[in-house]
Amino acid sequence: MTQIDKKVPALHIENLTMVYREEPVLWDVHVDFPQGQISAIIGPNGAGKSTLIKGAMGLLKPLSGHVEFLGKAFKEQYKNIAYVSQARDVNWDFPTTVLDVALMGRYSQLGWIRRPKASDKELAEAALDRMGLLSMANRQISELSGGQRQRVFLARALCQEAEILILDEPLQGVDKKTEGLIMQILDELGSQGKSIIVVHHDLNTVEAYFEHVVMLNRVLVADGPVDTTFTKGNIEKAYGKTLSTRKRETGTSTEPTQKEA
Amino acid sequence: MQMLLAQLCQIQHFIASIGLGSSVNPFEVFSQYTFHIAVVGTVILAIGCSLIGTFNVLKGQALIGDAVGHASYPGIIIAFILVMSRNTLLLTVGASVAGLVAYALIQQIVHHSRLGSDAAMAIILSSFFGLGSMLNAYVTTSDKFARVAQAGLQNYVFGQAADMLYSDLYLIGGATVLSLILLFLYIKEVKLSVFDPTFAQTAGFRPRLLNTLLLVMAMLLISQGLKTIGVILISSLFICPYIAASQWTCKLNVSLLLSAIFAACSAFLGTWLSSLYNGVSTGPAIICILSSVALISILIGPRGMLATKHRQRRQLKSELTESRMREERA
Repeated sequence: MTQIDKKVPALHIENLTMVYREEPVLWDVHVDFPQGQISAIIGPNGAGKSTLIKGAMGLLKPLSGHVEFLGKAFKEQYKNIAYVSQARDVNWDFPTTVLDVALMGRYSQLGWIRRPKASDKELAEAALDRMGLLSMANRQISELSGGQRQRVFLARALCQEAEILILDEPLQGVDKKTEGLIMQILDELGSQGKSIIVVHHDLNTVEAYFEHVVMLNRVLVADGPVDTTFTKGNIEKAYGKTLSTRKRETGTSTEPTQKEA
Repeated sequence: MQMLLAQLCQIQHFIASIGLGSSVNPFEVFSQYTFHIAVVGTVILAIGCSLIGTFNVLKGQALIGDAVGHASYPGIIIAFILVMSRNTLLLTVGASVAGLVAYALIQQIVHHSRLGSDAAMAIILSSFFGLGSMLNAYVTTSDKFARVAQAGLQNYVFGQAADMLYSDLYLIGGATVLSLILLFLYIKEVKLSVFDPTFAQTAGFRPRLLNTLLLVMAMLLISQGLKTIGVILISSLFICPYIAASQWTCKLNVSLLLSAIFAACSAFLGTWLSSLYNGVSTGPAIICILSSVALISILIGPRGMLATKHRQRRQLKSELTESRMREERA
């Protein structure tokens, strides 16, 4: 994996159009995510942020489009892509332990039928340690708090040892402390040359957390380095007038309805 | 062991004294050939159903088995009308076809209408079972079928293990062994697909294929269980064992083992009970015992109602003392 040309984007999306029940959700999106950087996908509710990554990974079927991860199709590259699903999408009463969930990160390397070995277990434990969850390794997952759930999911992605991490709202419903820890780990991964793509909803933290930003509202509004792209004009274009007016008045803005404890 | 036997005899005497019992020794049936077949069949079936059922319940598909079970009834009767015989394999094929049609209809209704899956299942379950009952009434009263032995058809409603033939064991055994092999090989993939299907797909697995596999196995086992457990109660054999097991453990492997043990013991006791007393169908006997185990587990299991309530009270109490101490300090 070390011989990849740095100019090849981590994720290259061309002409991606997604429809849901015959309604367009994403229209003809061309966008590149750079290698070795932390990128945010932002936009209002229903802008197609999650749909963009789900379409790119083939979780949802696109109407049209061509996608490459580090220059290759998803099917050839899936072992190199760690996906962190939304924590609220799974059944946390499932009878399994914290360590077991982290171990699931090794499954893509193992493939069908083969069971995790001692070395896989060590990797999973190291990932849990990094997320501050090693002492809870044998706990039942139903006992975890919202922040701990998100940390287990990130541990699962860490022990996959992938080059690209794609996270769907990893800061949704987590406390400030966990948010700090998650961003610190993502920063470390970024400086190790991993490419990180995050679906994000809090406009207040875009400048602090990310290097690259992709702004969506069913179509691509803008993309590029945060410094030059995350401007009032572009925010207005993506979110509409009302929100940016409020930003001017109060100096801050958040996407309405999505702020949770 | 002798004490246990003595106690069982006492229980039997008690039952006899209140007028329910047969005058025979309850252990006499143990030497009967039909009882051997019935016990082996129901125990093997119960193990298969409990294992596959665990994943059905975890996936939130507990009731789909109920709908498919009820819906297979008209399939049995139609197959009988067509072939004029009670050949188990042919009736099973009829049941499976009807079950599959019902399943497909439920899926279509959920996808293309504004009805939820509960409403879709309810309408399909009742309409199919109603059709089956009507056809059964037609078969039992019509002169056309008078010459063909059709008396056993009624037994498909509540099940009668005594009707089991040696050849039926092959079908039941085959279905159960197949589900055991599949689960043994693919437990890792099935677990991942049930817990987090989105992640499973990104990790290169095929959660939809595995889900279909689970459903096919469930339908195969349902079709095998109709003769012994009956169309009405077969779904309980999928649901109850895991519900009981989950009150005692939070580990999947232990749950699977416990489910199988609960199901196998209930199947043995239920079959025994129904072979002792005339008129006691096997299905209700097994399910009564199994659901009692589940209800008792829900009440007293370490993860059940009482334990949870106790745990919550204890937690609240410790929180209260803590906050009092903090107030005192302040």
